[in-house]
Amino acid sequence: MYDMSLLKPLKLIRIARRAGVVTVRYPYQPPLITDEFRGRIVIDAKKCIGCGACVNVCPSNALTLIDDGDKRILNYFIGRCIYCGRCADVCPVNAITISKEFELATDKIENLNSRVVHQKSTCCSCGEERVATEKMISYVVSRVPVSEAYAHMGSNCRKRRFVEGLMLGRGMLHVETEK
Amino acid sequence: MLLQVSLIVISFIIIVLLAPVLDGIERKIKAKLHSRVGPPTILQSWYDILKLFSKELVLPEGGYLVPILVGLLYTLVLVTLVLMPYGFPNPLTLGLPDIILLLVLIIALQLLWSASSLVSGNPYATVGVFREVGLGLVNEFFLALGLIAVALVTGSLGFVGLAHMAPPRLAYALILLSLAIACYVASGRIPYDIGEAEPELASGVLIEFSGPILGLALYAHYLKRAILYGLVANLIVLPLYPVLGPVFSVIAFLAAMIVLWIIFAIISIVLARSRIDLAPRGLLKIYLPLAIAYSILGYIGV
Amino acid sequence: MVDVEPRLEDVEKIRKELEVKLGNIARRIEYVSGAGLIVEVPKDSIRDTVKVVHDELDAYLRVIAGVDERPIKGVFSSYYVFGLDNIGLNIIITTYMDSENPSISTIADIAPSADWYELEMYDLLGIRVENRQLYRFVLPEDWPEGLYPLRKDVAHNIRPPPTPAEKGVITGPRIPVGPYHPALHEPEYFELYVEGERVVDVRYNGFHVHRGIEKLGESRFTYQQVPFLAERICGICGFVHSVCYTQAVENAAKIEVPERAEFIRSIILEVERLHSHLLWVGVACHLLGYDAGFMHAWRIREKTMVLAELLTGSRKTYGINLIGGVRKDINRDKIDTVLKTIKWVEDEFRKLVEVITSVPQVVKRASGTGILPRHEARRYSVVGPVARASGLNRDVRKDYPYAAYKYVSFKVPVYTEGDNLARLLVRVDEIFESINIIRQLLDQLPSGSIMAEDIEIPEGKIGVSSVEAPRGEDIHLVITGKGRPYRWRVRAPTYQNIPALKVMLKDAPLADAPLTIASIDPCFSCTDRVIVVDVSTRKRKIISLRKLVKLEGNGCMI
Repeated sequence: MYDMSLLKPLKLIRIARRAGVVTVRYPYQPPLITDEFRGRIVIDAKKCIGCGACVNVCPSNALTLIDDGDKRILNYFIGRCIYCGRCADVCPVNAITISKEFELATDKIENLNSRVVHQKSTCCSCGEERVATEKMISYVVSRVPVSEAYAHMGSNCRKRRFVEGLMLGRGMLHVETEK
Repeated sequence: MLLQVSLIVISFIIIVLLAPVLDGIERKIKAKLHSRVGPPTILQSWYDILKLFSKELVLPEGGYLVPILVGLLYTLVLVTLVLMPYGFPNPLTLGLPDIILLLVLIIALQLLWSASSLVSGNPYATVGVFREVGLGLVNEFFLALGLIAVALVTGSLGFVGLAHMAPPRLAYALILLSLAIACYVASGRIPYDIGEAEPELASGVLIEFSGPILGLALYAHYLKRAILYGLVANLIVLPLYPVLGPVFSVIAFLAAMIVLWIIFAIISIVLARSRIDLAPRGLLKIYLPLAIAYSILGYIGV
Repeated sequence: MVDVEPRLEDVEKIRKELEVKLGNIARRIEYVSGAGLIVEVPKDSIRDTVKVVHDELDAYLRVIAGVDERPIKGVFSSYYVFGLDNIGLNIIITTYMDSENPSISTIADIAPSADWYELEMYDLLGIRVENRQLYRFVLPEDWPEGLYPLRKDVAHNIRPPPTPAEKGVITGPRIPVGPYHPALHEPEYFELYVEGERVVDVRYNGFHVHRGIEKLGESRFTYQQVPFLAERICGICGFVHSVCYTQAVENAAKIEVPERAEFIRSIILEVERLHSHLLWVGVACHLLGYDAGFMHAWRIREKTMVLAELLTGSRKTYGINLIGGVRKDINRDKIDTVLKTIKWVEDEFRKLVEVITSVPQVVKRASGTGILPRHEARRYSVVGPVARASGLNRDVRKDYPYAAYKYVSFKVPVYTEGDNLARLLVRVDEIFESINIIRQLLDQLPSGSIMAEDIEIPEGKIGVSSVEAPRGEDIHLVITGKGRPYRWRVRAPTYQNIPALKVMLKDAPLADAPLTIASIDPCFSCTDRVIVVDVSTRKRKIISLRKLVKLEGNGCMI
């Protein structure tokens, strides 16, 4: 099976000639990536509703939701991203797309963070701060037969309204009409 | 005489500048055979040596002894370059038996190379030297034997004998083959670069060298290759000296040295590294038959 | 169910046999599909039980997992998984230990491959294994005593301050191969004790890249996030771990994976095998000084990497595996590209192998070196190409079929010499077989969905799955918990193969050491995710440097 004749190793020259030169002078020439390549994600701030589905599914906590006063911030930190694309899979509004960028090194760590800032919704009656963002409420309202006013209600107000409705129905409450 | 000395000076300068460039050419050829781009230019080995010189000096365990020995090695290399023939017998040897002189200088170079690694005090280097010396025992013996055979065949202990005599042809060809192999092995080439086996010994003999010491050692290594291949080139060109005259002899010598370097480079690319226990046996299987053959043929005058 | 179940008659036969032999000591002998035949014994009978299973039934030891089940059952437990290759059945010996001072007798004299697992149980869980020497294996020397990371009451993100370890003075010459050495691509540390040029002993001190993956999988990740973690266990065979984990969970939870997904998983697994073996061929050439072989093998391999990227979106961390199926499909034109690429790989590689095996030094150095005789291979229960090169016909794809391998036919290359050349040839043959398998799979690719609907994972179930990684048998054991695995035990193939290096390196020339170490295709990232156990437990003979080089003076240690 092994031909020990001295000239056989020289067949290497033929193989090398047929193959040519296969390496590329990167970065002076473009890198060799295919169409399917997964690079960093791009979050379309106009579409994002701040629901946090991507945050739940991200294996490495690259996507995080931060509460800052009355704002909710979705933070994407490239330093932890593993480019799996699960966030793009689960986003209900397709706000996340996977780009082909991978040359992401920088010497300023702020460049690795990108944020989408959302306004948290507050209850129209009592001003309680809600878990949802304004955009989430609009999203729900556009798909589910719920009035905007109801969707804006905080959980305490909803409970109160439910109980009031019960009591009203049983004649235990009198609603004072506006004069 | 003046012509010869000036030719020697010019060639000396050419070789000193050219040796790293030849190594660069070799790297480019290797890259082509590996289907890759390799170094950007053939001057890359020069850039590497210069870069190494720009780094700080870090002394290994052996202390100052290491750079001193490497410096000594380099000096001796230059001395050998001054005293070796250049396609014609070198007048600067002042009539000394320069075949023996060259032999002694080559062996001294090998020993200095080993000594400078040994004093660095690293187990890898020690094993590497151990291996090199073990291999060298076989190889230098046959190198010496070959050169002595040349002297016997030309009847003179100096290279001048080669230039003036018509040596027996077949025996001479065999001696030349044997010496070509011996020089190939002595220049530390795969399959016999066992002392510097990088994957096995983490660079073996070179492991403790860094910065300027490594730069100088590598430079000396390339020049040593020039000397060894030059020796083979000389053995080819010297008999033709009476016909060619000094100028063409030098040109033929330099051309032969370059061609030999490239051929040896290609051989080292297509083969793999041998092992310290297999190598001496393998070499003996090549040298002994050749030695016996050329001894007999030389004796009967073929 | 993803794994093919062993035939029920075979299971019954073994069960009856075990009842006869162990009836009076076993509390329970029950077949759990997706795991195996569970044999529950009291801990004092472990030795007798193992003797029956390992010696009399001739089963191979596959993995031992210690589990802290105090929150659920109030005890520590230990699962000894043995495998009967010829019928594809696991025999899982289960015992429970007291929660205050858990201890169990050793079985390392009956089954030598249990050595490392027992040390790991001690190091990470604090289960004392009696009648044997116990020492630090995985955890570093300066880890505080009494802190056992895999216990449930220890958080995953603690950082204990280092306690100063006893520093022994190291004297005498040794040739250290590692932790950083050009021959090795991952940090590991082999100490070779040499006499001149012959190796007289080997000491392995590893686990430098232990990352606590099992603990992470049990604390910080949810079920569907773990495959991404599993993929990063290894830098070459990541998909294997991902598939093995998802299969283990699918076995435990009885999830039906669509056939198309199984086919896709198998195709990607074979593509991974191609790239891994080509990588190894290149590395072996490089170690022999034949750089041309290295460069060309990797040139061929590059096409398979691009293929992987085309099929999955990434060259190495594919990220397409989830519990219940896969995320990415293979459409018509991708199939054409795959076929073209593997045809090219086949032709080019054939030519390259012809040249590599024609270089005299390669053949002379690889044959007759690093020999592992068959009986030693059996004793150490080695796996993968190492086993197949020593005459053991073991291949998980044939013995415990999983995914789509039951639909394809292929040969398992077995050589008997057990030297480095045999291991090289096994891998070369496997490359051609892989190409054959991919063609068959693509031919039979069924239509349908690629992900199961409505996945529910109940708690407290056990699942065992194994996959033939390029390096050998990879086995995962999962005990399901709430939202995440309760216990996830990973045993990578190299873990099983390293102890056999003792045999292979003994009395061998030093020059062969890197090649022999590399010939088991070590993947230390896989191995090190667990505790590392020290190989050498015998006395060491240190030869002075004076004898080594016949010179005066001291050799220094790096």
